[in-house]
Amino acid sequence: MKVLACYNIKGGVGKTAAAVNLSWLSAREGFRTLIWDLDPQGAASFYFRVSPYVPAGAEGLMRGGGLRSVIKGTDHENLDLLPADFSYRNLDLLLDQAIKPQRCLSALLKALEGEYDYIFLDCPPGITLLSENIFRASDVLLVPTIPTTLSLRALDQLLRFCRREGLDDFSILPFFTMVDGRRALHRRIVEELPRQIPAMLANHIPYASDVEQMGLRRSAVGAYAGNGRSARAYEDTWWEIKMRLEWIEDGGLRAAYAEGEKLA
Amino acid sequence: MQKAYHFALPGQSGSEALGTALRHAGFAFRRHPISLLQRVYYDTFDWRLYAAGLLLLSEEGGEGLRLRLRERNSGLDVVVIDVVDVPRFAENLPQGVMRKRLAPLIEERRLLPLVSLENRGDEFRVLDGQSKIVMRAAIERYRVDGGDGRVRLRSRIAVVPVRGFAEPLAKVLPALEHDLQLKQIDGGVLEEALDAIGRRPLDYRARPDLRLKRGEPIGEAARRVFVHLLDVVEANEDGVRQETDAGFLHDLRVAVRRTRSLLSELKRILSAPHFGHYRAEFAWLSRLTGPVRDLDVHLAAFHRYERWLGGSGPELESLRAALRKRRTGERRAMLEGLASPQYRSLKKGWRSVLDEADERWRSGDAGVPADETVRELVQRRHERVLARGRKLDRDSEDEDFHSLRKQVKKLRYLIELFPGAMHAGEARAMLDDLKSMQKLLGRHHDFSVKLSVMRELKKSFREQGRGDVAAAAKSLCERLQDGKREAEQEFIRLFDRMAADGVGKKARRRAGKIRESSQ
Repeated sequence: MKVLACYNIKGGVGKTAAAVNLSWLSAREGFRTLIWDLDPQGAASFYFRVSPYVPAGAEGLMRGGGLRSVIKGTDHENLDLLPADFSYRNLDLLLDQAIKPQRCLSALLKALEGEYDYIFLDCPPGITLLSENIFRASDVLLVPTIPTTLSLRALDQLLRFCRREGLDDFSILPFFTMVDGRRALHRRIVEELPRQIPAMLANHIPYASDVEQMGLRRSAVGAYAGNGRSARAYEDTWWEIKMRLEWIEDGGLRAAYAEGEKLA
Repeated sequence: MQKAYHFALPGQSGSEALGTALRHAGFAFRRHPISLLQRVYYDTFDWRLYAAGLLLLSEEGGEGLRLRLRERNSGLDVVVIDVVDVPRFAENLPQGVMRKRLAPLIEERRLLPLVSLENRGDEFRVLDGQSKIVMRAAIERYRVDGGDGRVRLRSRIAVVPVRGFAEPLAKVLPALEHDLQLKQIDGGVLEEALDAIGRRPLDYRARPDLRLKRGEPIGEAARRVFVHLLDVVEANEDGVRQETDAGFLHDLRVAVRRTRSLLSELKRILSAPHFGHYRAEFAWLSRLTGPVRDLDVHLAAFHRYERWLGGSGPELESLRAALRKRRTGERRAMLEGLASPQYRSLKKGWRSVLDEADERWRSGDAGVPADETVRELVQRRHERVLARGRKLDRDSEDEDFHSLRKQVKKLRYLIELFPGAMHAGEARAMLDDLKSMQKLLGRHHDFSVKLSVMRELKKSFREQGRGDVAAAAKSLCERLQDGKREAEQEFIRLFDRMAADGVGKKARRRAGKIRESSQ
């Protein structure tokens, strides 16, 4: 079981769209997949037409109520959803009261070992105690990044934070989203940044209206516009993530990443 | 726990009634006609999936070919994958939960089609206020491809819940039961389909599961076991001839070995003169089928050889090719043997001996209750195993280890072939010990057989002037020799440990118990 968190300190960068589309692709390939909507806004739950409601709320889950009982089947084969709940806004407070505040999420997810091939976490923005839990529970942090100055600054903050906190037992895979090829800045950043951060995925998600339509269609892009540019971009990105996962298991990514950091 | 529900549907219609029932229960739905769905159930020849509570089925229709791994009890899918062809072996399955669940179960066995069905009907996707599917209900009308044409199964409504949505089920089930007066049915589609083609689940078992009848004479009990073992031999013949998978030859050989073992254990009890003839004939069958199996095991070890030699080079490929060539020859000889009058006569003759349920199976020593005889034989054989085990040390010959291995197998077969002769807990404890011993003795034997073959290859390649291949064989011989020695030492340690802390005591206590219960 691999845990992949779609995370960014910054909001509005396409985390939920990435989590929804990548988990949908994973399930379509026959991998047992779960997406956990950790964002109290509940956008991933909305996309899968599930009410953002967990009966005993975040507190119930933290008390050991078990994740299994609140998992919902989506309309797609192999794909389940753990819905959001508005009480998740208090997760930091609840985690703070726990015995091992930074490892609660890992402990909760452990119960699902063997049941899923991939678990995607759709994370809220910010850098909080919940984020640290996410870092420790994840095998890979997928960081959707818009090629703009503020987004790059957020990525830099994340990398520095992880280095400072000694969080080196997972891998960070940033990738560009909402890339608008008509903008010179976007083009330049997409071209230059991967030289400094070798872990950056080569594929990127374009800025496209079919992704925006996810809210109207309430589904993954591939389900209604499978031949579109965005659906293909997510497919390529998912393929690359799987390749990177294999590479990570062989220890290659960490070495390349360390080398890239030296260069940066 | 969530599960799927099935209701028998009288007549061929039902879609309108189901739609009305769903509407009355307050649900919106989308109706999707199932124009034609070809469903095939798969399992290994020895029912490994069914026995583990799983079903594997392929469905081919509008959406291509799908493979569903389903829990038998709940009727719910564990995982669904799209495939181009149905994989034949576990290694052909894509990575993921399906492969993780199936690979340890099916091992080397091939997935074979059990039964093929056509389904035409209607699927109703039940929706909530957000147009989310919260339950599926389907009218299913199946026809089975039988040998003599198509057989129609009873039509049914299948109600499949969606995880985490209990409410629709709670409303729809009573509507079907009370409003439509439908009866819930337990049996799955597979069981009905098998029945239609004259089969039933688990209709093949390599090991007899014959409970002893109270006071049943050992002769009668043994005859029942022999009949089962002969059935197993015959059931596996086609798979061996067609080389469907390596499990067929394995099961055939085990049945032969069990037959020989039992004939040998009971030679003083079943004293009919021609039994000696069949002992010799089954020994011939064992020799006939042995080399191919040994070579299969040896060829399967080449991935380890690759590691030992630091990769697959032309030398290793030459060794592999030599073994494959040898296997081709041995297989030809085996197939000739299996097509020979000697083999046909063995089966026919032995079957007719077994079919004659006459006095020879009940009179004299053969008339003694089976449990009594088996307990006595187990006690004697167990003491022999302990005595031989104690004699083994670092200087013992391969033959000594092999001989103990045979004794252990014989003892294990006695316990396994007559379940109920011994107290269940006692039998289980003894079997656990025997399995631990057999595992190490088996490893020792494997190394020993491979070593002897590899030495022959080394010699042969050296004579052909292929020094590079001979050197690779030499290096493998050294590793095999080390492995054999390690297995020897590990076995001696295991046996010492057993003797020192309890197993010896346990064994003696067991022997005591056996003595008491047989008095």
